Amino acid sequence: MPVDYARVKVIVADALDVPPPSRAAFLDTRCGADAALRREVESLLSAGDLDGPFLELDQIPDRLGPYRIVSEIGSGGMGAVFAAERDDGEFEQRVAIKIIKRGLDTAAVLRRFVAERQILARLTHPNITRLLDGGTTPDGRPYFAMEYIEGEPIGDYCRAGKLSLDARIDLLIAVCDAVEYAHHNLVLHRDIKAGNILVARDGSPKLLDFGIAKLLEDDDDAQQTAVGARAWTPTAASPEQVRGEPLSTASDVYALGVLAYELLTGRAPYDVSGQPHEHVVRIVSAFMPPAPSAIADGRDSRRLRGDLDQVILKALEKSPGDRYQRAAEFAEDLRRFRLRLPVSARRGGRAYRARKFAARHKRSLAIAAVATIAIVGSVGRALYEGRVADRRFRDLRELADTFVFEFYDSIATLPGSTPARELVIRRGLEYLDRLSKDAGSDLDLKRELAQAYERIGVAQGSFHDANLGKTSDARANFEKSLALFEAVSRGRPNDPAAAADLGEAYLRMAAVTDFAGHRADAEAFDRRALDAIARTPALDSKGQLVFAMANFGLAEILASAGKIQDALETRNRSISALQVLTAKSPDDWQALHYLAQSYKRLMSLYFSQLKDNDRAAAALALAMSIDQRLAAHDPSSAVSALDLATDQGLMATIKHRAGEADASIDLMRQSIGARRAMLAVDSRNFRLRSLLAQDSGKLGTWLREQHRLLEARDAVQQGLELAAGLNPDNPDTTPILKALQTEAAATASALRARR
Amino acid sequence: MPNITALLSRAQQGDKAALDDMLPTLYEELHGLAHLYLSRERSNHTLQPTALVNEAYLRLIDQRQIDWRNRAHFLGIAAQVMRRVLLHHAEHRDALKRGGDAERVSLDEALDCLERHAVVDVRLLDAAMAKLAAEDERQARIVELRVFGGLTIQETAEVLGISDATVKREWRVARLWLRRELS
Repeated sequence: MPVDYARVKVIVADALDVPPPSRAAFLDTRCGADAALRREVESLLSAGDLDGPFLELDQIPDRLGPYRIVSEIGSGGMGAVFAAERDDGEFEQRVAIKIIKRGLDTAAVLRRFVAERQILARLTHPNITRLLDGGTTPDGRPYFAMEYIEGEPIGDYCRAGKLSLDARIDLLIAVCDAVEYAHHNLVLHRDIKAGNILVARDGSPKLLDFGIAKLLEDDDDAQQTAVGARAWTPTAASPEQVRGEPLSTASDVYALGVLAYELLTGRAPYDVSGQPHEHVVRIVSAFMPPAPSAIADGRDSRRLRGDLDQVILKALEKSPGDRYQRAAEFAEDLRRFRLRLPVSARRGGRAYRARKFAARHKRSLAIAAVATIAIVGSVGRALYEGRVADRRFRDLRELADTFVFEFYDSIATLPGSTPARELVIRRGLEYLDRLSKDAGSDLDLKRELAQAYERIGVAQGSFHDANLGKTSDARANFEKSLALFEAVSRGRPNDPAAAADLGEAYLRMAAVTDFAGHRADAEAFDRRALDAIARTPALDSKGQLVFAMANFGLAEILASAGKIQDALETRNRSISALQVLTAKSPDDWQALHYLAQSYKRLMSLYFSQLKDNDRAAAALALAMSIDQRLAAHDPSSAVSALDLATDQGLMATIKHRAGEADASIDLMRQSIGARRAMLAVDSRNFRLRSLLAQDSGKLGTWLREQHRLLEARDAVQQGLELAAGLNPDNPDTTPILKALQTEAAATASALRARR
Repeated sequence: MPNITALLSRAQQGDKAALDDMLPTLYEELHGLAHLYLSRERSNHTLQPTALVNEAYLRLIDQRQIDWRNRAHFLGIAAQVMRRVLLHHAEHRDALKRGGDAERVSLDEALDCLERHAVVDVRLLDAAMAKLAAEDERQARIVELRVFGGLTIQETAEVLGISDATVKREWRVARLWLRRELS
């Protein structure tokens, strides 16, 4: 009977780790009395010498030039590193040899080495390992010989030694000084990272590989990007580096900032490993990492908060001009911190600081909010069950506020936050309903309650925001909100704020009824919104926004009723109002968002009704430039990223009709890919899912038109899978499903016809 | 020429047709590269098939759009193609010799290089690998990636979605198995 190879190979593999003298005893145990198994194992073990060249292409030679290879030290992105000894009789020296892995243009690397070696050899600094020599292995791979350092990678050293924050900062200062010295000698490192710094036995840091990255980058010929892209490490590369732009001393400063972040918090500012390059570019170009103090452990976190946060984040600024220009300036601020002196990073203008603050704390606030929900929730219940009635009322009001406004807002735009949001909503509603019963004639309280119900409605099912897909629940809460706002407005007839609130409440109702397909109701609510704000003599900016948005909605309804000229006029009225608002306050991100949306609706008028591809594309381009501004303003917001991806899909649609079949298919694929990635982290975002399902069907149609039937089938299949996850109660679901099924049938029949 | 980067992305998203679409281009490219390599007179280079695969990667793929997993993925596919190219050449070596064209010379060189360095006859190796695949498909795939694609242990692990340690273990045993088979 043949012996089962699966059993054999396990024993052989284990036996290879057993020293030959002990193998017989080992096989006695493992094979037992199974003589056939034993024979097979022994026959393989005696088949040959694994150290021989058989099938091994990347043999490490025994010698390289004057060096004798002793052992392998490690391997990394560029290749493997070996310990070696110079023993050509001249003098004895232990060196580290790095053999660059295959795939690089050896001749060009060596050419650059010859050009640079004078400069690199001149770098003599106690914290920089010296480059000694370079050459080619017999099978054509470049290698470099460097000073041998007995030490530990700086990251391990900091962790293992449980080094104090001050001691870690001192290490960083020494590294900065070394980099400054190199900059002074006109050498950029280009690949500073924890893995490239050893801490020697005497505790001093040693930078490896100075200038090597440049040797491995192609010079100005056509292949620049191809090889250049592999010479850096994604987690430590600056925005300009990932974009392939020219580097400066500020690029090394950025990498030093990444190093500081890692050593002081224990975590890298970005985790981009394994991400496609375009995502790395987007993340590194746009996202500010959370403040180091939000990431570090307790005691370190307190020390980091404030000055040190600022110093590290200044080194990590997106634009090289906003960073420290030299490593010495970075070191200077670190020294100042050690001496408890004010740091230069804090000397920005007030607006600058305020902006930085908000950007930096966003994420930490959100994390804190999620963690606190559970705690405050149980406290809330305890209070409710307690017997102190007046205190209960006050506390409940505070809690409802906290839940609905602070917690929800802070997590609303984070991808993947839907379950946490549901919890917040459920708890918030319990408090609100209790409070409403006791509201009496308190107009302030009514207004607060109205806002809270509105907020909850938005979370449950507003069409325009990330939502939980429960539109009928949402409508009930919007109605509660509207009734309360009407009461407030009646009590305060001349108050522009009350009028604007009421107008906005009507707009919400318009949106919900519109979404449910009740166009006439929606139109009536839009007009009542305009009436509500017409009652007061003056409009505040919110009232102006209501004016713009009521027209926004009306334009939409008019267009769908086929009144195209009216729709265009109304749309332009809305756009003018939004342009005024955004010109007056360029930081009104909400108004900007609506303006972008308006341009998209205008695009749709030109595209669908007037069949004017050029105007449609122009309007969409205006929208996209605003969406880019919005995304840059709040890079952590899933909404902005989603808008940009959706824009791409719209542009694809325009291009498709303009006859650019291939371009439109590629663009739509990109758009769908980006949005699917977002759906993967927020799988219960129904609006996103529904649009994706529709666009997948659309892509299927386009592919079918190009007779790319197999791809078409896959696209439609993806659409159907997406649609299967939609809420069947949502009135939009049925037509989406139906369209996809029709397309699937069309593709199937085309496929049959082909066979 | 189809856009290899796009095809590769599609292949990674599970589009099997994309893989097939890629093969002819790769086959052609590897042939062409072998030719190009020799004409460039790189005296310090021996012409290794693995170097060809890497070069093909650099030429065909827009690295700005591709991540590291994709690179391993590509090399994995290219390894398959290289195996076919060299085997085809080995089988027709004698017939082709009469032609005396540059392509023949370049592939001769690549084949010789592989056979010299790996100490093996490609045709025998291919047959032995087919036998090994019947016993243990994954081991045969590891051999293909390492020998014909020049993938490192780590890259092989990435392509197959297994750990480095597993690749190392399997690779050692597979070498012994093939050694015995070919002796």
